[in-house]
Amino acid sequence: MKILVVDDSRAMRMIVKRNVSQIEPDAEFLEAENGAQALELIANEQPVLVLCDWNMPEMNGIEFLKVLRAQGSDVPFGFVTSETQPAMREAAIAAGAQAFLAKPFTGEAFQELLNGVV
Amino acid sequence: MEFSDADLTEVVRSVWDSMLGLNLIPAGDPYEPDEGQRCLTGCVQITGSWEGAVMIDLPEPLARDSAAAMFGCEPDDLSDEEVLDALGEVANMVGGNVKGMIEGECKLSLPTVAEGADFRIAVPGSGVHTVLVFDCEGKPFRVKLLVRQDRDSHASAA
Repeated sequence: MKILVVDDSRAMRMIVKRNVSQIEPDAEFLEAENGAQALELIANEQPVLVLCDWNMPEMNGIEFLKVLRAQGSDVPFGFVTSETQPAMREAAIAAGAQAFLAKPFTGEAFQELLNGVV
Repeated sequence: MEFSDADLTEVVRSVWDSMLGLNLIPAGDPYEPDEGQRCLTGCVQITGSWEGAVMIDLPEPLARDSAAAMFGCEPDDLSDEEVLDALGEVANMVGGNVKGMIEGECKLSLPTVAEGADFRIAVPGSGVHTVLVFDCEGKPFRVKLLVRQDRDSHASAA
C-alpha cells in the first residue's frame, strides 16, 4: 500500500506517516513538499492514496487536486489541513477530495479519515 | 470581533495535546524571555474579513522539546531546521483554528519563524488583542493574538 504524503512541513509529514503506520503497518510512503513535487511523483509512481496539506508554497493542495483530477486521475485524496472553515471543506469535496481532516486531530479522527478514502 | 480567552486557550491546548502529546497548563503570570535567552517565534497572519496575526514565543529548549514530540525523537537528535519546521507547523495549526472561528472569507499565510536572542517582531498597524501564557512541563511560553487596527473589521465570531 503506497501512500503519498504531501506537506511542506517535515514534522507534519512525520505525524501523518506515524498515524497511518499505526493503522496500516505495511504502508509504504512517498513524500512531497508541495503539489508540483507531488504531480511529478504521481507521474512515476502509483500511490493508492494521497494525503495532502492545503497551504503549501509553489502549488497548494487545492490547486494540486484540481490538476490531478483534470489529468484524469481518480486516486483517493484526503486533505489533512489547518483550514477548518466549512467553505474550505466544501471546496475540497467539490474539487474531488474524498475526505477532509482538520488539524489538530485525534487518532480516532485519523482512522475515520482513512476509512473514508481507502 | 472578539475572541474569548477560553476559546483561544482550547485551540492551543488541543494542538499541544493532540499533535504533540504534551499537556499545557494555563499560567497566570506574564512571560518575558530572560535577557540573552535564545528564543523562537512562530507567526502566521490572517487576512480578509478579519485581519491579524498569531505569534507563539518559546524559549529554544521548549521549542526543541516540542519539536521532538512531533518528530517522535530525542531533542538532541533534531537539527535547527527541524525545530523551525515544527514551530512553523504549530503556528500554522493554531492560526488555522483561529481563522476557523471567523465568519467571512479569510486567508492564512504560510508560517514564518524567527530565532535569536533579545529580538522583537512587529506586525505594523496591529495591536495586541490577547496574550496567553502556558506552562509546558515546567517551562513557560506565550501565544499572542494581534489584530490590525488600521482597518474596520466586520467579521464576528462563529
